[in-house]
Amino acid sequence: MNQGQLWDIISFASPVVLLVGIIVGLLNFSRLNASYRIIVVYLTICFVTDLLYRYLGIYSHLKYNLFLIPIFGFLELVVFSILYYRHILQNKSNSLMLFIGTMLLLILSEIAFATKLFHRETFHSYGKVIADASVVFFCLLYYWKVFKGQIPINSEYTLLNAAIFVYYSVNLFIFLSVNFLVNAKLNFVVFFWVVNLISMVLFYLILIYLIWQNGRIRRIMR
Amino acid sequence: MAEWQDPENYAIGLSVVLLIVIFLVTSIVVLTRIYLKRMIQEQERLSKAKIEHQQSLMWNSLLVQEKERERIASDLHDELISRLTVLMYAIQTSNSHVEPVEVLQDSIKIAREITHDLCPPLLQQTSLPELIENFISPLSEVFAIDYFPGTNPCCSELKNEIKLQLLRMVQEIINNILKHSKASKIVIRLRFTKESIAMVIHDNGIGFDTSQKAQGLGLKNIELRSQLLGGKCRFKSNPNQGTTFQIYLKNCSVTQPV
Repeated sequence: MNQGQLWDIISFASPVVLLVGIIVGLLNFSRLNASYRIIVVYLTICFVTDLLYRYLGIYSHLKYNLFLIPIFGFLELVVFSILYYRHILQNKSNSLMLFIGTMLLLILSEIAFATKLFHRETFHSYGKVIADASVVFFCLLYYWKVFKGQIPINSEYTLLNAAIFVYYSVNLFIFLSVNFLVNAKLNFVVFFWVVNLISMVLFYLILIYLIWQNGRIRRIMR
Repeated sequence: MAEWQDPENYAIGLSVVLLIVIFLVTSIVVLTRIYLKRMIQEQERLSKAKIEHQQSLMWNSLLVQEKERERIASDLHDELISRLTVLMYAIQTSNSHVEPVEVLQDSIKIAREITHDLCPPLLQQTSLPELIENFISPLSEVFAIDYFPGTNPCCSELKNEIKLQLLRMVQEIINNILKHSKASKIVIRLRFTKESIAMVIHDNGIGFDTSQKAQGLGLKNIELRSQLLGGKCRFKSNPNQGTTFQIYLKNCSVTQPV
């Protein structure tokens, strides 16, 4: 077994953890509150996207999956916008809605008009970067509002926000330099993909833990 | 190609920057968590202090009620029952030195005073300024009282419960002045607007040190009544500089439809 095959096997940690998360989420779905149901939907989107990445990159005749990155970024931004706008930030302000709308339009314009998505040598995923930066902004906005006393301190949301903040900060950095990472030799960039995989798996595990905990608490309260 | 553009060097540089980013972000999260924990502890301490204060006020309210019952019992026993006992012996022994009608009239007067003290008569028909005036008028023989009742006619629309509570607060404050202040002058001002009532009572007595933690039952009772009315109560005093009580109610529901 060579190094590449080893990393291929280790990379299956991501869909396995996602599958566990979806099962935990579906078992508790009726008991979960709305924000955690959104997280279950997010895990489902991640799982489907992971399978598509593998199929398009390994099994299909295209052998190319990078164009999925901004599409996935768009879906991530939609999910986290709903989560933060309606539940975590409890902020129904027009300026935030305008910000979200603008970011989504920018990502859509990249998907619709940019042709560089299908050339690996010139590939840049500004859509994913915009989505990640927007999610990081939501996290910082949450901290700001808590410090100002505009929203009450909720320990579950604080942990969720911390996990999202760390993961998407790392993700933002990685996808800023994605052109280098996909074109350079693997032995130079393996460290980044390992960090990406570890942060992704840890992030999913924290989400699964929060879903399980919320389901358990609401079962006890009934 | 420049040295930094070499893929290996570029990857190393990028790795270092990534590690720095991870470190910074993790530090922000940890520090924020510590700060939020401290905020929660502060909020819990404040809630606990508020609850303790409320419990203390409720307890004092119970003590004041018991004290009031004792006073009424004492008035009934010492004044009314003693006179009726004298009347009974006078009738039984046919004592000509005692005039039964006079004793009965005194007894009725005392009973009336006790009843008025418990609940002012014609509360519905009497305005708050009139109630206060009825209370302070006997004191004008002892104190120089400047009373400014305000001229807003809407004060007659106050609910009876509100009038009674405000009257009790004035009675408590005046009793404190009588007992402790050694004052010679009292100034009472009332001010009414459509939605608020303000009351200021000032005396030129010996004052007291407000920084002392212990407050008497009377002051706590005043505070509790103002809280129940949804109002605010403040007092300012310094030794030998008199005392000023300020009571403020801002609530349109204090009035009832005419």
